[in-house]
Amino acid sequence: MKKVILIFLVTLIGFMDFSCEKVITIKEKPYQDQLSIECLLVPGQVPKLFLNKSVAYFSSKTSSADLFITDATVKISSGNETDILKPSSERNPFLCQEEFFYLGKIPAVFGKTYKLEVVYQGTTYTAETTINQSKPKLNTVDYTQKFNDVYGEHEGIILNFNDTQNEENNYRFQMIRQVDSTVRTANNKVYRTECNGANKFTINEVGRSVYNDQNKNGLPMSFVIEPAYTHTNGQVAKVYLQTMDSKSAAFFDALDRQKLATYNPFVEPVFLKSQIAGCIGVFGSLNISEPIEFIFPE
Amino acid sequence: MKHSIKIIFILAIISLSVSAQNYTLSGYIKDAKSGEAVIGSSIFLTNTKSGTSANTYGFYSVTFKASDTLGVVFSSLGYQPQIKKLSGRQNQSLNIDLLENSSNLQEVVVKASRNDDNVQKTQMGVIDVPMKLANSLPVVLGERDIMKIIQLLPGVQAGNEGTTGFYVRGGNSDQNLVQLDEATVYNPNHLFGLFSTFNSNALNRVTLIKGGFPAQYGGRLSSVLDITMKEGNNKKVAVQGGIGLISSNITVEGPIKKEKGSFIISGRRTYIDLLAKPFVKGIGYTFYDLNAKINYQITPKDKLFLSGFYGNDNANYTGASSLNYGINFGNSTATLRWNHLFNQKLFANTSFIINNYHLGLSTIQSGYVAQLYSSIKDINAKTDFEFYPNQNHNVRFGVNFSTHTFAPFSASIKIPKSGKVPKFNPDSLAIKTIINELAFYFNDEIKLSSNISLNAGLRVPYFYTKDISYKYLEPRISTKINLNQETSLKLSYTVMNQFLHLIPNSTASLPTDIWIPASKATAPQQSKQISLGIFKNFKENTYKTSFEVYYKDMKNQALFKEGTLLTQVSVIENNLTFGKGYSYGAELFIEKNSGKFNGWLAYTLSWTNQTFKDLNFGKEFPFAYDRRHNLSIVGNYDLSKHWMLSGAFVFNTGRPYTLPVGRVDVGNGGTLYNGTYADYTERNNYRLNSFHRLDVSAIYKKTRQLFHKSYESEWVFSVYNLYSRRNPYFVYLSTDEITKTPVATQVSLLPAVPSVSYNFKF
Repeated sequence: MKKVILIFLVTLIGFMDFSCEKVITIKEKPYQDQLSIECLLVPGQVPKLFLNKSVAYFSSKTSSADLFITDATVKISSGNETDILKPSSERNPFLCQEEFFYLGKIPAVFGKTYKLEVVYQGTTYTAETTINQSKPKLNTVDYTQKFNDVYGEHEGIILNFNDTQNEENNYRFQMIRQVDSTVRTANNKVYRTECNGANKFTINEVGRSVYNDQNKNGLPMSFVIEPAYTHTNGQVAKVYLQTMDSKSAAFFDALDRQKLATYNPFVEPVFLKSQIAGCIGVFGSLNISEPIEFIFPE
Repeated sequence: MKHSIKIIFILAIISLSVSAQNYTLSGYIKDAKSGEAVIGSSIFLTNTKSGTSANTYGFYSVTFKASDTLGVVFSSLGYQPQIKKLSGRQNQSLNIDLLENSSNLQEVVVKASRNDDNVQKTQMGVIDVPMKLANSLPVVLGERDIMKIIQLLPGVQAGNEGTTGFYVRGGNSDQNLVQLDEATVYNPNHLFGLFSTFNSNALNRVTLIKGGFPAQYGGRLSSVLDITMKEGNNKKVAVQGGIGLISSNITVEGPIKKEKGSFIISGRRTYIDLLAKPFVKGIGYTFYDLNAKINYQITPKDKLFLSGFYGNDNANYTGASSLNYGINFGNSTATLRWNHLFNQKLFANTSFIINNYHLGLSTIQSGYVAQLYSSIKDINAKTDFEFYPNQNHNVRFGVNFSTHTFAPFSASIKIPKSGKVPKFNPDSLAIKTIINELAFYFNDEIKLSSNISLNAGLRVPYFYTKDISYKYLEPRISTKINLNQETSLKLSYTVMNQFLHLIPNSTASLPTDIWIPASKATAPQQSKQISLGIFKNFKENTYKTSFEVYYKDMKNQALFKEGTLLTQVSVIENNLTFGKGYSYGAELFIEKNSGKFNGWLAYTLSWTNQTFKDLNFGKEFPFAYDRRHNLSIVGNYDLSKHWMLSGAFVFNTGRPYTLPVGRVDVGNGGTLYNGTYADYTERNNYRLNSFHRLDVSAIYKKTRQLFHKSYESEWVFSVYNLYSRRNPYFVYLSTDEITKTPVATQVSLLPAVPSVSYNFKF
């Protein structure tokens, strides 16, 4: 009997293999690519519109150059004034790659209504927005070493401000700072900054979460955001508060929840509802506060 | 609806009024060795070629037309049949003790007895789980588990690997009523669902009903899992137990007063906490369960039963930064039952039941303690009557009243400077919601002719709270037509309502499921099911087969809204969305219950789809546990006097899950979105890889001596997932933030898991 037990155990331990995860290949379903439009008008800034083609989810086409649509006609007009946007690009120094978009020439004006018209391969896509979010005012910016959200425990930047009265507002964080090639994403894994050598460069980070002012009309508000990139002690940054229209907020809120759901199998998936008929995307507006200088604590 | 009620009552009255010179034979059927009721045993009258079966307490009553002699065969699977010749001209009371078979007699026994309830009974969609076979099948870490056997039956889909949750005919797991001695068990799982809370040594009978529900059952849409605990040996004291790799159990039973009353007490506790302590820091886990039952025959016509169950899980995790998580959950039930025999034709059972389910999650972090608590307390009183007026009727009627008290609670407070963590008393702090359910039912099993019988019933549930009430009529109809002695055709139609929702956390198997009652905002779930089946036995009932098809329509199904993260939900109702679903399919069951080789093959082909206005752009999509093919092959072979081999093979089509089909570049703030967002076009548009697994076990049995007393011992060697198939648990996506290339990763749970355990029985 003892022999039987011994043979049994020895044999079966050989079968055991505790690795629990493996990368799998998904057999993709046929996918019809779609047009993606993303444009938020900002008072005082020229329009910048991202126009891309969507691709099958596991497609090897990943770079901005692969996906950017160059042969569309893009117009933004208000009253008799029409701005024809042209393909342009700028360097993303963090990823060391070019990013492509359409750029206009006429700065957007608060209070005006704008119409978007994109013509691509014979189809016209239209949308409209009015810039009616007042410029928000950021009171103070604080720092906390620890705060908790669904992603765990992090450091955080706290934005304190008063909600603008009698307006629906949807707030978002923005921070611009000068960094060098030692910077990493917050999870400390991803970087490709060597192309910058010893030169400093600017990174612009925008918060993923959008905070609605429901039941807060005119009252003090605050929220905490985890910085997207690493920092050094004493590093100086400019922090802004953005506010956007409700349609754009719905889009970016869905995008935020979708991101969580896509990577977390315990969260119900989020299907994006486009704000522009016939394609994926959003055409809206936002207004940005004056910055407050923030220094990462020593 | 009104017409169908009228028809039922007219049929009942006409049939009941037909009574010539009839006599009644009644009594109890028990196990000769232990005195346990042999539930469902068959009583067959050879004169009329008709019969009946014993109820949950072993009681039977059969009425026959006067004749000189009456031939009766008493039989049950696994027992030697008894053939009696009685006088056919008087009422008689006859208690029968059935002797268990020895294995080599089994072939003979099966041929001698009828053993064809599957063909002869009107009810369909019912499976009695063969306990003997269940005890020999291989399971994870050697823990015998009745819930795992349920997952191998036709029409039943297993949940994720490692869970004991089950899904019947396209219904969600909350649509299964799990009852232990009539008390509802809300969470029949221990942590992570690896084991159920039921200790199989303490169980007498387990029956799964998945369609054609008799009217005495209600409150759930998809199935009833009716579990009856043993009463305890009333002849002698007996002890049995088992020592496993992670837990041990012991059961003691014996007479309180010989032939009058008995007791059984059975307990199980894991020692995984003690085993893991030297190797794993910061994690603690224990579970235990306890079953106890006593019964006493007060008078020849009155018997009392008192049974109880308590199961609890405790887990905690202490991580860095003083992070501390704790989970505590469990079920407790108590059932007091009084059997009263008014006369040979009228049997009544009155029950008073209390059950309690609680789930507590606590977190201590950054100087704060937070507690989430949810509990349900039920108080239930019911009376069921069984009336056997003549050979053509078997009438059941009764009333059931229950109150459910829901007590959700959550709080968070700062830990004082003293560092002493404050204790909450959720029971006194929670805002309680009380709901009430009252139900009346009437059910008659009517023999219309020698070949046609009808089971017609009506249940009238009434749900009320201080804010709202719902009342419904639930007709239940089944009919059977005998095509010949070994073949019958059955058809059933049932309407069910359910006043509770379990908010499904479909992917995870953590005990974070939260029950909510129907309310103004949350309408009760409803279903209508029609099923048709052909039942045929071969070789004198050695092989039993059935083929059933069904269609089930479900309304007011609940799912979370898109993007809901359970841990962030404060008001659950605000995060739910409601829709409808339907399921249809075909189930094949081939069973061999006797002989050296026994087992079954179960195959289900099914489709289940749902439609929710707020999900999938309002279009229909597959249910999360929609599996096209589901095959189970279970076998057990008596190799010799000492060795027995068992195996179970399962194959399921992978369950559906949702993946995006397209990818879009993000312009503004792209880094935070990993550079991309996803284009989802359809919910549950992909399927996980197929699930298949082979489990095997070998049991070595021997009678041994200890202090000059013999006892039965067995070593059980088993391997779960013999060929270590990497079955999918879930798939998650990630994106390389630089290349933006999406990657899909499959997570599997259990590789080959060998185990050995030792069982004994004095």
